[in-house]
Amino acid sequence: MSKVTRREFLMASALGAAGLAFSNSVTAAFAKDLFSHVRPDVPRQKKELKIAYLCQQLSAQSNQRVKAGFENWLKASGLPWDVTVTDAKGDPGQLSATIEDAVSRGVDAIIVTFGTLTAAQGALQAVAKAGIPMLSVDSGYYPPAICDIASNNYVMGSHMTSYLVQRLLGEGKTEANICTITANFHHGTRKRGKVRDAVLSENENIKVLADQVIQYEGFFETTLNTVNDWINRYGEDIDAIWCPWDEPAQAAAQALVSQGMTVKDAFVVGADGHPPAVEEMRNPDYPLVATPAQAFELWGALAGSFVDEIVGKGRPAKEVVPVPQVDFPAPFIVKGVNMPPEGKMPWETVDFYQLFFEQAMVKE
Amino acid sequence: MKVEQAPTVGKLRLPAIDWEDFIARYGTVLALVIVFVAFWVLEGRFVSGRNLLNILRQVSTLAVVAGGLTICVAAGEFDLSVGTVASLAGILVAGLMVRQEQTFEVALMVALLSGAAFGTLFGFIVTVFRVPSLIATIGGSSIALGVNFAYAGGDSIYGQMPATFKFIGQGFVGGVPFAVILALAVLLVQYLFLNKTRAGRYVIATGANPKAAKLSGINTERYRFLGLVCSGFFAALAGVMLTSYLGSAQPQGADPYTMDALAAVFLGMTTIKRGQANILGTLVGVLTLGIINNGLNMVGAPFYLQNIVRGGILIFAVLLAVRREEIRFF
Repeated sequence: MSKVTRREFLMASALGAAGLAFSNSVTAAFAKDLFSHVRPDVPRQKKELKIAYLCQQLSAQSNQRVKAGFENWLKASGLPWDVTVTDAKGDPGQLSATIEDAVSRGVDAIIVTFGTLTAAQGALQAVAKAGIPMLSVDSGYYPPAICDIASNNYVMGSHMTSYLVQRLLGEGKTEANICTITANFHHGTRKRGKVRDAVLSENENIKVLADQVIQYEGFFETTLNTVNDWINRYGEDIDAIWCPWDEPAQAAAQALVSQGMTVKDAFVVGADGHPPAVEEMRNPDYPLVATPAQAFELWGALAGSFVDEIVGKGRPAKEVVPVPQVDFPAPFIVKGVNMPPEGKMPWETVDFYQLFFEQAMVKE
Repeated sequence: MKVEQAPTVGKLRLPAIDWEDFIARYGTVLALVIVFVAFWVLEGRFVSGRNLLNILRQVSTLAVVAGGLTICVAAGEFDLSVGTVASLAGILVAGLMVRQEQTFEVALMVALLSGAAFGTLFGFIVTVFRVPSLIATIGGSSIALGVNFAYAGGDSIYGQMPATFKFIGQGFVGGVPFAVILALAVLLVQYLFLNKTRAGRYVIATGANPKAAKLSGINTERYRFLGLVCSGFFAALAGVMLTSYLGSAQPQGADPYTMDALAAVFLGMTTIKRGQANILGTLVGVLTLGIINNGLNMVGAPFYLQNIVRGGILIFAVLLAVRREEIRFF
């Protein structure tokens, strides 16, 4: 049986899930040459475009990674785009203003990453009125955006929490105590939290000892201090800590380690599959045990390719992206089971579908 | 003012206690004690040695930045950039070690100098061009954030950092977090500077009544300048401590310190030396904030109570001081 590579699997899944109507050349270029930076032999219509690339919170790893994916794709494609990057530094009002500024500048396309578009209704109306194609990345879908590219956060929240439940049961803890960190400022972390609560409501053997809602500002220190406080209050009664993404998960793990606890005492689940977190997971005692790995770099590249198809080549938006929400699969990484090979991106790991498929089907 | 008659024991006359003055002077300290006892009653583990050290550890970074801000406010100036300057120093120290592979000593020096440089810049703008420090430091805060993003691209910095550096925020000496010892040492130096040196007394005189200080021959511009430099320098030191504590540099990790440090300084101005920014008062303010944060977590209070209680206490304490005309802002 020929093995399907991680990248090919992600590509196929993303395209299938969204029902994308890519042309063969774009699909091939995307899959083959995304990060090679060299593609001199592909004939391109090199239309000069003015692109507004607007970030909600550039200091977040997720924002950085999507931007890196976009920039690498652009470099590889050799397109002469004039890209202006702005950062709203977490302020929804500022994001709204930068969208309006982009409209005033008369850009050819707008890409919004991790935006709070619910708080940008006026600016979105201006975009619609100006007829400027706009794509969003992990912002939730809001018209007039052509689409939003992200992982399915409901699925991720379910993966994380179900795994937490299963691991506790696997450890023989039929009655268990957990603490949770909640982040509601971003639609993705908010959805994961809601699904977490739904899953836990079906598992009443697990008691939530404490919950802390965090804001982005100072989140690492807030989480570190809060988990230290919890450890002092509940001690070894804590069996697990649920975190909305990897950086708070690292803070929680650091608090556990600093108080002499290992993964055997309490474990942590996070989300995103950020490389620093995944590197820490290679340590067997490190409490962070699981994280769905989002393909941030691929989202940035995909956003670029959509703009190229729709604005650069003039293809109808509906033909390129028939559905408003492009859900990228996020392979679930579990320590000791499917850690990605060193030097590979976390989302390049072999996911559970493939693991189970091989277990079931491959016979020597 | 109500003065009770001095009680006598035999022929010995004890000094009279002005209870009203005592309450006014130490009311904030009493409130801190009451809050402490309340949390103790509600949750016994609150007073465990481990948790008390935990509280001290958690407030140590804030204490350093608030101590520096105290000197600035004592000189009659405001510094609203301490959070972003601390964030910048935190990013620089980590970036220089991890990305530029510089030694800990070089990285530390550059990070601390960055804070002092911002303080010097603000001092220059405020004293030479007579721009109010409130405005200069708001603008400067934005510049510090810009430099931060220009250096690291807005990215967090993870990676292997030297053990010496990690020891600052994560090490222990005889069971006590080194960060606590460092913070106490810094507060002691700041206290001695303000109270036992001529320069410190001139700083206080400048802040208390700049016209009178000038007429007395004090170079008030110099001490306002010095206050801003101290504020920037200690903010940078706090940024270094925070990065060591977190084990990574977060681009805006120290930004919340601006509000927390101001709250601690204002709380401190309501006690010990009322109406005047003072290090012991600031320490009371820092401990109050830390105990409230920790105590509410320990008793399992809803997360939003931390903000409400913190804000409420700050407003109430300053309101009392303003009503007694101990603090005047504008």
